Amino acid sequence: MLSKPILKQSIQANWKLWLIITIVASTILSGFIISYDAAGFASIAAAAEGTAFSNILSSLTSLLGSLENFYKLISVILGIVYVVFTANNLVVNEVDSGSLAYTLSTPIKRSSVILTKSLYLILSVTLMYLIISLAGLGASQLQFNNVTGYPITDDVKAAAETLNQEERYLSERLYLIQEDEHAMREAAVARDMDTEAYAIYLEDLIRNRSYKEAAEIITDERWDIYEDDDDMEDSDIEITTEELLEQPEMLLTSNDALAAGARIHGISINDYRELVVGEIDALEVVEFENTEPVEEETPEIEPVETEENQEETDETNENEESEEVEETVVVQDTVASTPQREVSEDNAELLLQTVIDSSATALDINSEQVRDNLTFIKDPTALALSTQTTGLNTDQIIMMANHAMVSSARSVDRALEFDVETYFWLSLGLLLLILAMSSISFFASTLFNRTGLALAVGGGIPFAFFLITMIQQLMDSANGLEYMTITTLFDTDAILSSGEFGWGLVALGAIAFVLYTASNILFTKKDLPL
Amino acid sequence: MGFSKPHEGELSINGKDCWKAAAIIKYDVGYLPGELAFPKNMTGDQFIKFMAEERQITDMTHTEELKNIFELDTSEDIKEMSLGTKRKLAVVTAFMHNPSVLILDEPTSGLDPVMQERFIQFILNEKANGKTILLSSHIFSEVDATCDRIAIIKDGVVVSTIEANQLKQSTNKAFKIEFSSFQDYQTFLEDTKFTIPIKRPDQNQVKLNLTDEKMQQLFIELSGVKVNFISEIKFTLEDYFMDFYDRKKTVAAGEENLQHGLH
Repeated sequence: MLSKPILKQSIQANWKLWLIITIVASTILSGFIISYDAAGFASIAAAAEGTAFSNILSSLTSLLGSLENFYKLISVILGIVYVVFTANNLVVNEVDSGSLAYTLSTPIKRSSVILTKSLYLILSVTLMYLIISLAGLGASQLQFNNVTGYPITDDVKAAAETLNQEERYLSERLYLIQEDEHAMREAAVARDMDTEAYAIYLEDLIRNRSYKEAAEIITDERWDIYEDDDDMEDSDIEITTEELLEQPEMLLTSNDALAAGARIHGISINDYRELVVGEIDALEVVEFENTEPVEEETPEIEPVETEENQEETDETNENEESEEVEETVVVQDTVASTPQREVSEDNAELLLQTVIDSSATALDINSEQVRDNLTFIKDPTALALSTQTTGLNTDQIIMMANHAMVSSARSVDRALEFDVETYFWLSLGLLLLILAMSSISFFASTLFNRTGLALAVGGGIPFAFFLITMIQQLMDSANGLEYMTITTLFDTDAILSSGEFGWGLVALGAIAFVLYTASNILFTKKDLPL
Repeated sequence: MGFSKPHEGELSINGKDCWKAAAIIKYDVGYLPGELAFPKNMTGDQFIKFMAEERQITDMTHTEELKNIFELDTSEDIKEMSLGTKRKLAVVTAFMHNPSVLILDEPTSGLDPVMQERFIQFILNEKANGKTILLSSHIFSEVDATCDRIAIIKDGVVVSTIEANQLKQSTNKAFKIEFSSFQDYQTFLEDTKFTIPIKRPDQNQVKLNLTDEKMQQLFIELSGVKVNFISEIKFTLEDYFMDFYDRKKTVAAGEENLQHGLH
């Protein structure tokens, strides 16, 4: 049913625009990714936390989040330009000029003519966005090495130089840094930390990674076990890193998972087993002491979300009880048993600000400078003033400073994480959106016999959708506009925050399918003014 | 050609419905569009190759022959081609699969006179080979030279269909006669048995119609008077056509005209 000569002719007539748009979009996406400044965005976002800007900036704190404008606006308008002109060229232009008469004077069925042309448009759009996505993937890999492996951060670079190792090699064996004092110092400086804080950061990072890899292996194993079990939801089978952190005993059941975790730590499986057992014991102590063990015992309720919710409520609490905050913190600090627990409490943020300001006053420098390099807090003069203003003791403040440094370093790491799955959904969603747009143009191109009219309708509707999206992005408020454009069906926010976005994408696919089918039927039945 | 559905009636070529079997009939049909709109960004060679692939032709010898007949150079980009070259290209692609039915929409417009003549010879040759040719044209000489049956279409309606032979071999003739003096003119009018539809006493001229059988009679009558000249007013396709368009005649009146050769 496909006509090879028509496909060839379609390619020949449209490849130039295709190539230009593909190159432009790939370049822009790569440029966005390469110029992404994780530390910069993370610090801006940290500074804006709790303010009205935090919502807007939150999307910038991850590499993929910073690409939202690309996915919502730039690539959409580029795609629209391509599909509108190509759809127009493919059908209505040939009808209007009369050149279709030559094709239709040959023994090729109309249905194959239109099928070939719709397939050309669909395939060229698919190929275009496949190339763009791959270009983005390549750019990210080249710049941050974060697609196939762990991101190569500044500390890894510095340590690699000191240890005379490959950056890539070292990024997978962070324990090598731990083992070398000199490398630790260099790496800490590269991340604006002192060795003490960096040691905590690195330990934390290694621990997290080992759990993450172990969790993946456990999930795979559970997939094999429960694959045919209808009672198990996908989310029940899947073990997330957070679930494993709360129930490390799961690790002990899987040798492979233990091996993976041990590899990250650079220790033997037996040593790692002991380490895990030690952590289980520690957790039990906490649970025993903890008056509210509810959260720990219900890992099924998607811990990611609980954590977020908790953060949000904490933020609001913070604003409401700004007067009483200090008191609460002091109480919590004394009650909490493990150091990590204590500093992870969210209202420590305000306390930290006080410490930073005090340090700045004591050292006679700018608060910003202190924030950029929190090691200043540990300066004895700064410490003295901070203890006075906050009423905390020196250890607590140092702990807090360490924690702040670690968490900001971790947020930079998180920002650089490249979630291939999220990227895949973003790319697929974008492709479906453009295919839906192209189906509108293509339908208009087959419906009308005059180029001008087809261009006005087939180009006007997608462009109107784009404009509405742009206004919506600028105003950043929902006032019904989102119901007037199909770009809403491509919910980048939901994809980035692992929310519900599947039906929107299905709807986009359905729009494309229906309109392409309608175009095919219409074209085989209509009278052509040739 | 299966471009539009017929509003009423049925249309078929070689017994196959033109709409339902649109693709199949085209193995036997060559179509020369009136519009010279070719697909974009192609050279002549690419276009011929494109059409050959669409028609599933592999043997290009016939196409090469056609190119030679019309002296067509296909290496050029179609955009750069003159109107005449484009037309030749369209002609070659319409005939390349040696179809038995040809639909030609103003095939010679844009061709130079030499090529027009060559085209007419080519068409006559094809006709002699038993091809069915449907040709639409504004150029009467071309229609006159090639067509067996002629239909005149006005406002989308066929107002007349005639056999070309009827025009050429019509027994009705019209003559214009000028007499050397007014006296001769008078004498002729008094004696003649013909009805004289047009009289011009100022120029001593008359116009009259007659059939071949009455020719002798006319010359007998004329032998008694002095004549400056006698000329036959040729009744051409153009005159016939113009009757419908200029004088807004009805179909019946047009047919009448053909019968009596009145001008």
